[in-house]
Amino acid sequence: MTMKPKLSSEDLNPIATRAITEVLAVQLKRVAEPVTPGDERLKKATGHHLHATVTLTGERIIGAVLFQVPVEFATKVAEQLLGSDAETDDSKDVTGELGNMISGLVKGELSSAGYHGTLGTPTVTLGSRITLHAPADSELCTTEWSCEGHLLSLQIQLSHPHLAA
Amino acid sequence: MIPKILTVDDSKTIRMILARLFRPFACELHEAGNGEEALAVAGREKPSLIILDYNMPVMDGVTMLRLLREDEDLKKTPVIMLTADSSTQIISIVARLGVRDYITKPFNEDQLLAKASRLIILERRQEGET
Repeated sequence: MTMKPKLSSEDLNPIATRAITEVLAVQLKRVAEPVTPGDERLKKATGHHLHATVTLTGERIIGAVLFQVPVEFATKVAEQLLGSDAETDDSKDVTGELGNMISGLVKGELSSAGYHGTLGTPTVTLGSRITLHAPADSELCTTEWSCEGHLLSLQIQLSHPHLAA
Repeated sequence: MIPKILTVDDSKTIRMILARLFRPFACELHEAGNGEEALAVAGREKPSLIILDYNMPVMDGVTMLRLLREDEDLKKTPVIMLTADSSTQIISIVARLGVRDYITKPFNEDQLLAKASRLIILERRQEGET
């Protein structure tokens, strides 16, 4: 990617795609299929979800990466990774760590494109499925995925403080 | 004497993955959730290898590494960084602090095992020579 004055959601989409597919493939040995925004399954995606949010702060970008998964998926993955029964805290920790790995890859790609930043530590919350909304001066990229029947979501929201002045 | 491996990560998930990975081998595992805890465990156990995260609360991996290198008893301990942060700035700092390998997350478990085994064997040889 060449250095542009501003990143658009179209620039962020392939970054998000590479990050989530690599983490699922390398760490979990799982494949995720993209889900289109109009897919009926998204309307039926209810139940409790775990959300891992990681902030990204730099001179040219400020934003956040949000990775969310159904609790059932997080529990299944936690049991696979830990090799034992998982409790709620284990599922939260696994979701946070996956969010951390995904954010690390996103940060690496943004950095290669000239947008350097520092990652925060993941914050994990439990709740219903959420969708970020971008303020007028920021970019939002939302990607939806299906993995073994579970709907996962990765959203990247970025603004460009150097352009706001 | 069996080798001691100290894993340092604020994520229980990573510590558990590493424990599962090394459990079948003849080694003693210790863990810590941040750099401060890790220095205390390292001082007590004198590990043969430390697998260290960068971004942690209380004390990060680079600060821990600096303090480790200032400690006469621990300064030669081999360290592998295992972190989601692939920034060239961090890589160059930890390289100057004598880190033997830098592995980014997500990571290939076999590759980590191979690198850890190689470092422990090398460490044993060096100990034998001195």
